[in-house]
Amino acid sequence: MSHRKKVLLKIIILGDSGVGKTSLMNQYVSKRFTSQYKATIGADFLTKEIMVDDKLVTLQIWDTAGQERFQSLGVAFYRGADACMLTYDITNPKSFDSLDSWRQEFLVQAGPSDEDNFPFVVLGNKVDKEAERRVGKSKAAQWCKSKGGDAPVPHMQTSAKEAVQVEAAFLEAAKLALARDTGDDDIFIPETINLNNQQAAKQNGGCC
Amino acid sequence: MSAQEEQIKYLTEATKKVKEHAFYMKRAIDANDLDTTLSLAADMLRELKTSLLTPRNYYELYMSVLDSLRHVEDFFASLNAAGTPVVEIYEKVQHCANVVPRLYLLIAVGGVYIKSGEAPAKDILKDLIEMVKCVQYPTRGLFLRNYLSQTSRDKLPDTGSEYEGVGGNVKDAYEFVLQNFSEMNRLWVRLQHMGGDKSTRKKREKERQDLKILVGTNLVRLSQLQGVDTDCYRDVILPEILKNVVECKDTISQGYLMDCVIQVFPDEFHLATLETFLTTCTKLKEKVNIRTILQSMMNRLSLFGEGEGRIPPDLDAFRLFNDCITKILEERSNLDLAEILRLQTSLMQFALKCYPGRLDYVNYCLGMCASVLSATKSESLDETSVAEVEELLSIPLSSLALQVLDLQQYSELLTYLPYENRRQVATILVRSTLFSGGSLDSVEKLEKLFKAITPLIKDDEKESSGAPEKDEADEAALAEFKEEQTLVARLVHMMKSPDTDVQFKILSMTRKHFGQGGVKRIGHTLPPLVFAGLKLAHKVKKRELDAVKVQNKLKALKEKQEKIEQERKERQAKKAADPEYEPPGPLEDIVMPDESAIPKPPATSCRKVFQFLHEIVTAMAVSYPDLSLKLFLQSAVAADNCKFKAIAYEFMSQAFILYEDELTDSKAQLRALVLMVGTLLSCSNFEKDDYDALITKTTQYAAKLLKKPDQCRMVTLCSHLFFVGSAEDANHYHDPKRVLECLQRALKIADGCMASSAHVHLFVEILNHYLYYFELHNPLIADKYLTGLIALINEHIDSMDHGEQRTEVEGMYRNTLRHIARKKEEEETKEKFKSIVV
Repeated sequence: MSHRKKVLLKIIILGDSGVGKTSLMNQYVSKRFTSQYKATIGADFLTKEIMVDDKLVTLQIWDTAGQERFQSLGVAFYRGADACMLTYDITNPKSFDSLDSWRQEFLVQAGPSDEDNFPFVVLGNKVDKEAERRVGKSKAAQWCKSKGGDAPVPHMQTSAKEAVQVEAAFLEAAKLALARDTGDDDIFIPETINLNNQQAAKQNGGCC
Repeated sequence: MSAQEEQIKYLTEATKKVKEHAFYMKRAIDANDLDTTLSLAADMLRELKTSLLTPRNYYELYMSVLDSLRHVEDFFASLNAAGTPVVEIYEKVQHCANVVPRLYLLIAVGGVYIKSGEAPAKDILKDLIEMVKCVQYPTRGLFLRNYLSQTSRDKLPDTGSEYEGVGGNVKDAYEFVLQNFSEMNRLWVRLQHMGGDKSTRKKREKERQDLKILVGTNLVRLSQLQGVDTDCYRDVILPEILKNVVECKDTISQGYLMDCVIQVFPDEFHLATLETFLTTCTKLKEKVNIRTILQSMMNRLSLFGEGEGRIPPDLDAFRLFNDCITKILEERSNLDLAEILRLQTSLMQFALKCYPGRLDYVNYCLGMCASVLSATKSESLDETSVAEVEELLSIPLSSLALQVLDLQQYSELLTYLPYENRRQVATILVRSTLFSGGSLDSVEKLEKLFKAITPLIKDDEKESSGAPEKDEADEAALAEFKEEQTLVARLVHMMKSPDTDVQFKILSMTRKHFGQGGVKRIGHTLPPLVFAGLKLAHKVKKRELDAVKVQNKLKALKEKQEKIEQERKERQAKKAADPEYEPPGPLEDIVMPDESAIPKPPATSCRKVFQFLHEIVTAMAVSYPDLSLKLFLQSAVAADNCKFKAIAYEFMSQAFILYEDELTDSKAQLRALVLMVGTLLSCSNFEKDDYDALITKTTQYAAKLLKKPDQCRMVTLCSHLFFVGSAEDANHYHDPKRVLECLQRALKIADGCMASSAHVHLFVEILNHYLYYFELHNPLIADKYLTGLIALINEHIDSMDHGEQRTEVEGMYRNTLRHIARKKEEEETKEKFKSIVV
């Protein structure tokens, strides 16, 4: 449907505070990592151009605040997302338990057409702390299976710190998003020909 | 139309227009038509001029505009790639008539401009930040600047960025962000003062709360700059942020930005600037909740302290926080009591986490609270303050447990709480004491503990009693009470001093306290004390015996020494009389052991311990006869073990008195009797007359039981009291005649049970006892009795109705006969058993 040459994919990273969303994005986009904890406020993105199967794709990666109080304007940025990465910390079971509500909240707010087959990727981050693991792989795999539509939700074990599976995770999300391409884009379809040119005249709050 | 419906309508209309313009705009892009694209993009962006939408809805609209604006950015970039200099587009865009669309487009081109490298990043950034000043309407300005911030995010000439160098350096980067932050904060604060009548104030506040993240995002940007190190943060960034915070004089802004600073910058930065940060806290507006800010900083640092990091030893964080709190308390007279307590509580929590060994810090915080409380004139605390004090006193328990009692201030603070709350704290104290697993090994320690947990130990004189009234029948309260008392009872198991004398003092003192608990408590608390006493009696006895042994040894040694001395004198006399005298050999030298090395006999005698036990059990006897009877019996066995015949007898008599006076329930009587027989059989040191008296009495009780089968069984059981061990064993009590009497009496009673047809069962049981004595060679239990009884059973069993009862009896009887048959075959018993006729 899209007749533009370039493909732009919007990917949202969600998960509890402290699971490593910003770190994953920084590792992927800038190849940088810091162990210092810095909270994210609101949501904004970085872009990265990659080749997926000979196709140039621009990924617009949205890093979000895990703490609700830093999301005071709501989550309008979910809309139009092409894929969503649900992230938990393998050393923190609570962050894994939260995936359900993150997923649910995303589906409600983003409202994609085919909820069951919307491209999610689940990331178990911080595998560099394998010794402190408190979320079993099989438990996570089971969850991914239960939430998948036609196929289980892909599940990757990542480390933003040591750049383990980070590239692969984003590539997976990009591929799934490309494969879907339903044209959720709710494109504007002109209903009628606009005869009376009614410019928004009521909005006259001055020019500033 | 409600305000909300109106909002939805505005938003839907505006979004629809945005989509429409975007649609045609994308067509123009496809046609590579810059002019049309710009004009349509401007149409689309004009929707953002609205002032009708709430911040949240404006954000939605802004997002959908930005989604489409991305295509314009791409278009600019592709034009540039195809050879159009960006500066040309940059110029062109400036012709757009409307300010808001023009600035959005300028920023879009600006981004491409920086990327193209046609001009230094810093210059373009400066240009953009100057131009966006045009928009002074808060909401529109904030979003526009947010777009600038977002677009420039990856184009700042930060250290290590591709734009560093010609494009500028980190200074240009942070100055740009700081300027944007400062302006955004100003716009945000100004929103509060627009159309400022009181009715809209709440609405404005809500709008501002929604918009805050746009301002805070700038701080995130600063924290993301690679070139900002600790020095730069301390010397430039933080002072600049704090300057804005203080100077804006706005409550919402100050509270929010301080929180943001704590959250977005790393721990290392905070540790390097703690003093500056805390000083600023004292300069904030009165309505800013400084406690939550301090708490949030303390939480962050204590998490850091607990994790991989360490708070540097040269940083006296506790003092800094404390100074800050002290200053706030001095300057803010409007702080209510609960809030002051909360401040101290959080400081104490910080000390507990970051300075685990520093009890003085904890004590200090408690002391501060105590002095604040003592300064309040009011008679009693308000509910919130009470809750705060309870919290304050509960928090250190999990890590300090009993150590809190070493803190002077702790007990004093407890007195400020009403009975109920003290009870809650006491419960936690007991729980943590039990959990800590230490031992309660001194009277002083226990005195302190009991003082602190008084509400669990006894009723309050003035207020309601801790023990729920039975007729209230509040099950939950009753269960809670039981649980509490069980906890208190468990403390007894932790009382273990290695010195029996100290242990006795501990137990006596505990009894004194528990004794005040009233009837409902002692049922729970005294029994474990009895068992602790029994254990102690055993230890004291051992100590006494050891002491006697040592004394005997010493005596022998002394005698030997005297003998040798005598011998020496004799030899000297002989030598004097006869110089030729040669002694037969050298004399042994006796070395007496050092006085201090000789183990002392216990100051508290074993006898005294039993006296103590007697007193405890007697005290609870009337209220808990069943339980006390058991405890008396238990004590009797222990006394007998220690060879205190008279004491054992006294305990038995007390048990008997209870049996006679207090036990009315026939089932309880039966249970008690079984225990009494068991106890008597376990004792082996009674005087014969005493024993006679006791067993006769027991047998009389047995014969007087309410139900016949019970009578029968107990009389049978009592027969054993008269025949202990086998007939050959001379050391034991044997009265074969009384055994026979018991069994015959039992048979007679069984015979009277025919109505319930329980008699056959009883017959078989009695037969088994006959057999037992027969095998032990009780001379009076002759074969004829067995033969007769077997014949009797055979006769009665046939007349029994078929059913479960009969099957059971038959089974038991069959086994008995099988036993006899086997004995008849065995070599050793053949002779004895042959005369029994089956």
